[in-house]
This record gives sequence, C-alpha cells and structure tokens, in this order.
Amino acid sequence: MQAVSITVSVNRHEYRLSVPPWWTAAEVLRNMLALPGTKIGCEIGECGACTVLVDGEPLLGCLLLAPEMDGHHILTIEGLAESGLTPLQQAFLDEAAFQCGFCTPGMILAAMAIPANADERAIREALAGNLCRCTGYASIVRAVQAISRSA
Amino acid sequence: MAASLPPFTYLAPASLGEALDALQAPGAVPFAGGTDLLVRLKRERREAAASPSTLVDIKCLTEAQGIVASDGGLRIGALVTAAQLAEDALVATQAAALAEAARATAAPALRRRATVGGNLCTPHPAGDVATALLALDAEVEVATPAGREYMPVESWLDRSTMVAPARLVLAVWIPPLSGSAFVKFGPREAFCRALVAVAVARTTQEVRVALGGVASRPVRARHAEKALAYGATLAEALARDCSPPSDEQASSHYRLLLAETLTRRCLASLDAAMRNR
Repeated sequence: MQAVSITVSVNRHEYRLSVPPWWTAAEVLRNMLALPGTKIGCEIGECGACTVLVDGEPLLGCLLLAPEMDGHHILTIEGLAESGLTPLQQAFLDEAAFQCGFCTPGMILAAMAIPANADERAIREALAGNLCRCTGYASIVRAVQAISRSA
Repeated sequence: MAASLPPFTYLAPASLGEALDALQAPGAVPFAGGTDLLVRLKRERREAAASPSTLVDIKCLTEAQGIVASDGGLRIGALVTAAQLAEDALVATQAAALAEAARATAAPALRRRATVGGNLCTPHPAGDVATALLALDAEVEVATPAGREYMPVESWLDRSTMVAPARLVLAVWIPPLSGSAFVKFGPREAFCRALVAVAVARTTQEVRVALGGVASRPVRARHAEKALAYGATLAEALARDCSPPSDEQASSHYRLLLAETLTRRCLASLDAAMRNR
C-alpha cells in the first residue's frame, strides 16, 4: 500500500505530490493543498458539493482517486476569480443564489459547463446532481440564465 | 483527517495481459469509473467489513474503448461512459434504447464516469443500461487468461458472482435491430433510481421486452413478448414474468401496472419512430 507520485495542475499551479492512492481528489485538495472551497457533503456521489472541473469537465471529487489526478488540469472554486469575480459568480451574488453557501462551489463549477444557449430545462438537467438543501433552485437557475442572456 | 476509503494498492496496467495478471491476485478488483465501487468501499470501511486489497485501474486498456459499427450491429467498449452513449450518433440510430437509458442514468457528473462494463458488473435491480442491453440481446465479450469468451448478457447477469477474479468485461456486441425504446419511471424526473424501467427492441423476427426494478436484477419478460406477438393480454403475461417487490416507494401491484404502462409507451414510441422514417 504504497504512496503514488502524481503531477497535477490545480488552479494553474503545478504540483508534484506523493499521495496515498486511497485518498480522493477532494481529500487531496482540502488536506494536502489547503483548498477547502471544495466541499465534502455526502461522500457518495449524490450531492455534488465536491464538484471540480477536470480538464474543463465537471466531475465529483469524492469519487475520483488521487492517482487519477495525475497529468490533469483541475480547477476548484478558489481558481475562478483571478482578477475579480467571474460573471457567473457575480450573477450568483446579484440573484442571491445561495443561503448557507455549502452547495455553491459545486453548483458554480457544474454551471460553468452549461452552454450559453441552454434553456431552463437544460440548465436544470445539467444541475440535477447538485443538491441545494436551502432549496434556492429558482434563484440558481436565474443566475445561470442571466449569464446565458448576456453571453 | 481520516480518509473516507480503506487503504488499498493501486495499479494501472498498460496492457490487457498485465491487467489479467494483476487481477489473478487475491483481493484484486477491476476499477473504472468508480461510481459504484468507491461508494461500496466507503460503506465497507464504515462497517469495518473486508474490502479489496488492490484496485486495478483498467482505463488504459484500448480493447475496452470506443464504439464501432460491425456487421450491421455495434461493438461498444466496456469503458464507454453513459455520457458517451448518450451523445453517440451510431448508438442513437442503431440502439436508441441504449441512448435513452444512458440519458436517464444518474446525473451529468456521474454519467461522465459510469461505464457500460460497470453497469454489467454491479448487481442492481434496475440498472438502466443493463435493462436496455437485455432487450437489445447484447452479447458480452469477456477476457480471461485462457482467451475471449462470449455470452448473452442475460447469462452474464444471471451469474451469482458477477466479477470473478481474472475476468474482465471488454465490450458488448449489439446485433442489428429494426428499432428499440427505453422508458423509465422514478420518484422524480432526474437523478433517481427507476421504480420500473422497460426496454423494448424489435427485429425483423421478434419483439423483446426487458424489465428493470421488478426483481433483484433486470429480467427478460418472455411471456409479455409472446403476448405481444400473439395478441394475448399483456398485463396477465407480465404478472407471469415477474413478482415485483413491495417497498416504501411502491407496492408490487403498482410496479406491475407501471411495467404494463411503460411497455405500451415503448411500443408507441417505436411505432411513432417507424412512421417518421
């Protein structure tokens, strides 16, 4: 049960890490790289709070093994606002699309993969795996739609 | 902070031979998308139950990748994900039921990871993809140290131990079809397990019906198939095909009614597709 060596780009920084293979990507991000923006909710792929972008695609950090990060580009919520908030983050603020905020990082990263021309049904389908227990879905969909309209 | 998974050795063999060798070791299991396996490992850790000692990541195996047309049918690699199935043009035209089943599977992030092979190797009463493959009468291509084996997906799902050591599902072969459809009914529209799912496939010779959610695994409904061919009562035939469980979500009787309604919806959608041709 040896550690494995990986090279991974996280938020545009390259890291060479020695990781236990049974750690999940979410655990590596939070515990090794001190990036707690990726939330760990259900841990079994049902809530979407740990969603990160892997080479631009939303995947669940709780069901991705540390060795699988090797050679990939990972974007977490901490990597979004390089110079000020992104339009999607601003839209979440404008529409008050969160209450407790726990689902927000995963929700925003999942929403980043939604095409600009998506209708409400497509938006809801794309976010079907991201649960908001404050049930702020209406405002979340409005925030994503605001981006679609301005795009 | 404690890790959520139990410790294991991780191997990522580059070739099929190496993968089969690695899987000969006691406690070694194949690993692809992990959407079922990792959830099971986390549960086993919480319950302090025994877990696999080695995960053999098979995602590098080219033999288990891709979707190709073959003799009027399709070969679909075991590593093809539900997301790939849902978007593939060949699957959409030649195995519509499989495309529908893939679209109905879980949620987008899980569909990007869940594989065809995984759906066949994880015992689930209502695996959407497995239900569709059953109606399509797919054949499973399995690699063993002695060579390749081919078996009907129904025999594969019947096996008590679905992943025997040193055996690896490489692909499924879909025979030519005139048309197919899949309809799932669950407690909500997206991201749910089916209460009942039905897949129907038509060839020039026969109509085949598969049911999910009515037994411990997806099953063929042969009495229903005969009823459709010879004009007998569908509801009675379905009641002979299965005795669905009653649980907190639905009664056995309700599941039988769903099976009948969804079978009729599949047939209606097949008829509509034929008319629009």
